[in-house]
Amino acid sequence: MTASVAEIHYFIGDTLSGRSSGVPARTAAAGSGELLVSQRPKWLEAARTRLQTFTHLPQNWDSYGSQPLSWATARHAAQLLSQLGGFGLPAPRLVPTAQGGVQFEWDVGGIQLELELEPGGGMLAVFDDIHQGESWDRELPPRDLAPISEALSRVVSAGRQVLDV
Amino acid sequence: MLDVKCWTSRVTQGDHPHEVPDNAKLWRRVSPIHVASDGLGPSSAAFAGHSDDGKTSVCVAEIAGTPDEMMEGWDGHWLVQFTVGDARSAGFGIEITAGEYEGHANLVWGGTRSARKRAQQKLAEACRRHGWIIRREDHG
Repeated sequence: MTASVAEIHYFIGDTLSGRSSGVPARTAAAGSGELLVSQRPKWLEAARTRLQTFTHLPQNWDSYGSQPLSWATARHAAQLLSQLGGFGLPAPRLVPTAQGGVQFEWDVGGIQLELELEPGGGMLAVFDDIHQGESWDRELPPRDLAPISEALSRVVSAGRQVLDV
Repeated sequence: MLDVKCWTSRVTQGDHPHEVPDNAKLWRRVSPIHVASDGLGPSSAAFAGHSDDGKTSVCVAEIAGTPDEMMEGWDGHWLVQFTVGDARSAGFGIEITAGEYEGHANLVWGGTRSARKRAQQKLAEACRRHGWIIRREDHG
């Protein structure tokens, strides 16, 4: 599937504005790490802009033959960004992957979480809590952040503690 | 100095992977967009496999020439170094390839996708320990 840059921009912008994604004002994640957050974080706009730049990457941008972010993956990534934006998380670092996905990275207060969105919509998560000595990696079904809600909750807490120092 | 000839002349496609010594140094170019936010090392995403075959291209430093030669045509890219032992302890296999250019090799993975992601993190950590071979001023 192909789409013009203008179409991609329109879609990402529209998705992140919440008009097409239906992002709720309050987002809940099931499990012990339930999160309820009511407003969009300030980093969302910058993250959106960075995500857009990944669709502009040249062919072979990493010198190993990788392609720019596809329209379909940009759409998934924008939706995931909207989901994540509702959790009260500190700003993630976004990087493109060689397979045409996007990786979201947090490293705050001894909590490290990497969440990779694959081109097909699947997700991979790698988590480390240095304080509790907890480490795991797991595969997630598309659009389902519930299996990592506890991890997201710890990133939120660590982010708040850093801000309080 | 490694006895490179003893394994580069015969080892292909992982036939005799353990003949590649653990202390052999490997280089990999890193796009500036994959430099970690603190600039001290690469993101784990820098070690993702190729979209076609899942293999991660590297170069055996001892036979790849100079770092500048490795970076020719790739202004702005960074260069990291780790060892074959680092790759093996992270869970990767290594295969010396005959194609592309002298000293080219592939890191290969046989486990789950999420475990591979953890292995990529271990490589990124190893690169932090070894330091940058070529470091640029700006990163993404």
